[in-house]
Amino acid sequence: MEDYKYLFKVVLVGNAGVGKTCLVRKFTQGIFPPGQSATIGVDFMIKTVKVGEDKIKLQIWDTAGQERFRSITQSYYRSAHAIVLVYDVACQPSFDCLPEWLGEIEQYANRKVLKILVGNKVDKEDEREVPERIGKNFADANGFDYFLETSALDATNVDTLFQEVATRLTNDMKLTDERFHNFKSNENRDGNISILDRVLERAKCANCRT
Amino acid sequence: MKTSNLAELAARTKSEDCVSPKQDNIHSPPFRKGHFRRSSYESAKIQLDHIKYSGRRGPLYVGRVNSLNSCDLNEAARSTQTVVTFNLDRDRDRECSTSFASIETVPTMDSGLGSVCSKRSSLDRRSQTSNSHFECCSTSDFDSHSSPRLCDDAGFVEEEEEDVELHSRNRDSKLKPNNQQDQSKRRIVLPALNIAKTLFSRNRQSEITSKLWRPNNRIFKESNCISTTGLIFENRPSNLPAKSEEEAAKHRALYQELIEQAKKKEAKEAKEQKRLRELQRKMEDQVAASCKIWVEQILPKWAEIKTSKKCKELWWQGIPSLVRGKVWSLVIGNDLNLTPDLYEICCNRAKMKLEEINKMRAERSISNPIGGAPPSPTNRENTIDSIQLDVGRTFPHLGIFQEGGPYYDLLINLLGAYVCYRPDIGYVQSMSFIAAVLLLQMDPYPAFVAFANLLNRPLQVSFFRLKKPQMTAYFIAFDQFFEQELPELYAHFDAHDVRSDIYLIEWIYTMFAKSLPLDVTCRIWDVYLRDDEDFIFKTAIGILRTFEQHLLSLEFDEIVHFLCHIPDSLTSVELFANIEPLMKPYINTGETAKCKRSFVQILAEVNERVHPYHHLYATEGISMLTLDPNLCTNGLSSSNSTSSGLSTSTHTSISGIKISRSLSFFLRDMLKSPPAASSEQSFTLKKENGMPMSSSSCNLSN
Repeated sequence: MEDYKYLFKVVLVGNAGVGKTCLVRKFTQGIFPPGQSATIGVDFMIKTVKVGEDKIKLQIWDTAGQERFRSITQSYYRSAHAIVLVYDVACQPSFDCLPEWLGEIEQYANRKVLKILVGNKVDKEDEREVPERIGKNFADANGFDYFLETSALDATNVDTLFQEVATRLTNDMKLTDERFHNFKSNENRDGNISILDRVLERAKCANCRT
Repeated sequence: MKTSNLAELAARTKSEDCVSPKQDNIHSPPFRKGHFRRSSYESAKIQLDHIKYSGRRGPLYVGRVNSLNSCDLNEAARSTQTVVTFNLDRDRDRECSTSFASIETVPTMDSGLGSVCSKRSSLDRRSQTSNSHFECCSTSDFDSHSSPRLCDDAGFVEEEEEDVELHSRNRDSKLKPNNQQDQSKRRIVLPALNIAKTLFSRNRQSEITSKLWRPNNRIFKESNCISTTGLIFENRPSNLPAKSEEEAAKHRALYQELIEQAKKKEAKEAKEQKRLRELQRKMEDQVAASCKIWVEQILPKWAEIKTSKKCKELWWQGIPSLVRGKVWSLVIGNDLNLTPDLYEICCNRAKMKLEEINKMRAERSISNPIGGAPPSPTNRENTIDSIQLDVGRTFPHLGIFQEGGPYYDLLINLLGAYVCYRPDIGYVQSMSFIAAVLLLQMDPYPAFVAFANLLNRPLQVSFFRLKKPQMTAYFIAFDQFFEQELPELYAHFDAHDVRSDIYLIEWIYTMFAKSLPLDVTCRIWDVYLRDDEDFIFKTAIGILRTFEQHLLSLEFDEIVHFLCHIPDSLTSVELFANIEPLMKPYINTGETAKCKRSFVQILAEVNERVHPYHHLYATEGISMLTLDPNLCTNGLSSSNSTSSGLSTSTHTSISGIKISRSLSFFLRDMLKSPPAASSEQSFTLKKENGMPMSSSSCNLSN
């Protein structure tokens, strides 16, 4: 029986061929598979990371990129704690599709899901089509929680990415747990609580991330 | 005059019969390039000897030889000289005339430490005859010596030229009488002598000097009784006291034991290898036999024989790869009536399209981006773009579908042609795997025909065209079939929320080509083409059954990970043994409610319940199949009402469709049913101990 404090479900989405599977493989197995098959449906990996003293288990769902599979992959969004939207910095179309993906996320994922934008393949600096600034601006304008450029090939920021995901989710979780306990204890003390308070509490909660 | 003739003769015969690469080393220094490496012990010994004898001349050497011959070998060993041993063939010794044999041997009594050939060549060039030396070297002692072994000084190589000179003189003088007798027949050949380089040689066994001399019509065959181990008559360095009898015996026994063990091991390995070879041959024979039957008996009368029991049995064993492509083509047929012309047209169109896209892309990267138009639902020709991406990612371990590989263009053409043939479907990821398997078995055009017709089968149409109601029916049918066949594992999966779609999607889309080893995939396809789509689901159950015990011991994470990455070690024998129980015809007595149903039956029943509302999906697109997860454990409520609340009471009549709770989530999502507030999934992940572990603020917000 593994012991871990929290279990988080991280879902990777993005166009076909942007390197989602390679990112996951690099992070979970430390290898960059030179010949990687296209993902059909979904691939699944697990990795345990440490945030401070806590062991955090990440369930990483690596989805098929092709548009055809969206109606299948969207069912994986539902219970995701974090969605990592990946594009290829050397492939403009993969960046152009981001609004579509955002639409999917907004439609099917939880409202408070942690959204991360990742520009992959920065090792292809010569072929770069999407400048870092553009990616950063897009992330800021569309309510992403975090933006990062990575390379699964030379491991740039791969560990940072998932570590950041784990850290942020853990912190959120701790905050939530705390609030939940306070809320409960308040409830117990007062014996009753007005609906207005409840609504206020929820609003605060909803704003806490954005 | 005579001597010079002799020398010439010697030199000539030498070059004829001996390998003598170096010629001009008469004045070479004692240590030359190409010397064998010596241990420090040997070197020290040699130097010592050298110092001792450097001032002396030939006679000393001869004296030494004589003393060696006359004295006990052990004595020689204990003398200050390092002793080199070599074997002379006993017979040869006897054959030789007394003086002759000895003299012939002397020049080759090379210590092995120096380069023999150079010395010999120098010998041959020498033309001086020295009777005194001859006298000294008269080797009746040699002959009379009981032992075939002769000893020489390891320091021999270090000796000054005079010593070398001695040998040549000796030999030449010996040859003289023979030469007078019969010059025409005279040939001098170095006798075969295997000489150990050093007495206690380490890793130097490879360099054994062995030459053949044939003095005066007497042919000495290369001795074969000599081995490096045999040459060492001293089992320890000479400066150490001899072993006691007891110890020696013990060591001999140990040595024997080692040899015995090695022999036993070798025998065992040989036996195992033989067994494997036998097995292999047996299998090959079997394949060859079945191949013969397929080619000679089945294929000529395909139409009549294909449904026969014998043929089906043979089919189950697997189609030999020689005829596999042919059989597949025959079975898949060509209901679509595709023609080579059509294929040609599609291919050309695909090429044009591809060039167009590549050109557009090049232009766009120069001028600034203009967002790609989303593919229209009726024309998915643009998906041709992603073919290039996926072809290189097809069976990467085979390395033949990658750019520059022999199948790269073939696969691109086939998929491109299909996209142009069916622009409404376009390219769907995973098609590359199916096309690749077909291409491995047949030529491009038959592969295209097989591909198009295969994708026209109901299962493939449902999935590749994303017909959600049909897909739903397949998922539900599999769910029920799974429960019926492997109830324990089914319960385990359900308890851990392992949904069948997680693994089933890849299995169905690629028809196991991506998930299983290629040979296993081909065997599955063999039977799939014989039995149709239900075999895909039977195979799925077969895989689960193969790993059932293992899967039962795993948790959610491991189960999903395992099923997403089936071990490559899975063999077709193992898998088919686990599918076989599913192949028996189901006897439906109708008496017990628990009687087993075949997959086809289950699917038909499910379809009946799902499909009456098919037209409604088509028009409204959503939510006709409302799945309330709270009810799903009792039954799936397929309702003609859009309200999930109502469905509970009004549609109990169709609660026969049972599906697992977890799958119901997936199906609901897939069918794009808008999430009803009541069934909003709680955002709680449970730890194994059952303690709810709040994982998101979602709990609060509800």
